[in-house]
Amino acid sequence: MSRIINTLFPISACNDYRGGRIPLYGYYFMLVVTLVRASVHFLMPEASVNSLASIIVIEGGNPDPNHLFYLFRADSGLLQMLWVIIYAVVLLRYRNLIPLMFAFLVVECLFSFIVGALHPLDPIYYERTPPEILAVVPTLAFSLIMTWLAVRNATASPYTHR
Amino acid sequence: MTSFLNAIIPPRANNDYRGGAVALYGFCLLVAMHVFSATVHFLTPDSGKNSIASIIILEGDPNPNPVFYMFASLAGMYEMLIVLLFFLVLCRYRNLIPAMLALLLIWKLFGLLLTTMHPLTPEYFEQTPPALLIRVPEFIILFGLSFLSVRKTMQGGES
Repeated sequence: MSRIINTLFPISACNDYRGGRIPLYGYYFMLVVTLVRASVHFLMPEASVNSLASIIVIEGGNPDPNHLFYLFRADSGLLQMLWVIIYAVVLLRYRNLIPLMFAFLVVECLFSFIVGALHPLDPIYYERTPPEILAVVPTLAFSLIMTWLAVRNATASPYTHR
Repeated sequence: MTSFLNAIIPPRANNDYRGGAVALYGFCLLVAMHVFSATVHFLTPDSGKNSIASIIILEGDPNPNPVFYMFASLAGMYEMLIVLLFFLVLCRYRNLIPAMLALLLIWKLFGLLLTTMHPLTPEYFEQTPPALLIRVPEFIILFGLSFLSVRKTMQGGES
């Protein structure tokens, strides 16, 4: 158990990565996907609320409620962009924290279930199911597998714990 | 330049913090603020938008408020993830505190970009939200703390 904790939270974070090749490629994939998601939400004029998430344009409100949707979806895009920066720093400088970053992705997926439970939305708000809702379970499975692989490979390495 | 970069993102992250007591306590205070803010945004029924930010109850067909609360809660969720990272840094990797202060600065700068891209007119608010009121003082404090922590680290000061 302490080996797993030491792999997830190494005493000294550095570039001594021993988690194996597949989690490393998985990490590149996660970084690119998060970068695309963050850019789309943070920088697009309607934060992809209508175009990608297919949330309908609400009519009849004064002041226009759609502006608030765009602002707060872009706000979460901003925070995703901060995570892209964190992922990039880990990739460049602290690769033995890659298993921890996968663990953070697991927590993100679990948190998104809480958001869904606290704020369930009727289908009347969508034209079709948004891609982010469709992707939650596959993302959770991906992050769990990658965390497990990275931790297993690192704990199997005889040089991991010094 | 290299030592500046090494002060922010040292080659080995550990608990050997040398950024000075002021930056450490300042960072703890900022973490406490973000714990409160993330909890409110993530977990309260209105994400703190009507009760604290004083944004008016929206009108429209269908009711736009559930979508609004959901997006605000989503932003609170990512904020909570960053709070978890801050706790981890405080417990395990204190020499990354200058990096976390730099991250907070980037966050605030991105926030300026966000409000430029999606400006809200006063008709959306009952009064000015607290987050907007503390924006400038928070930025100045953050900048000061970042400067202090990096300077102390570069001097090799003791924690």
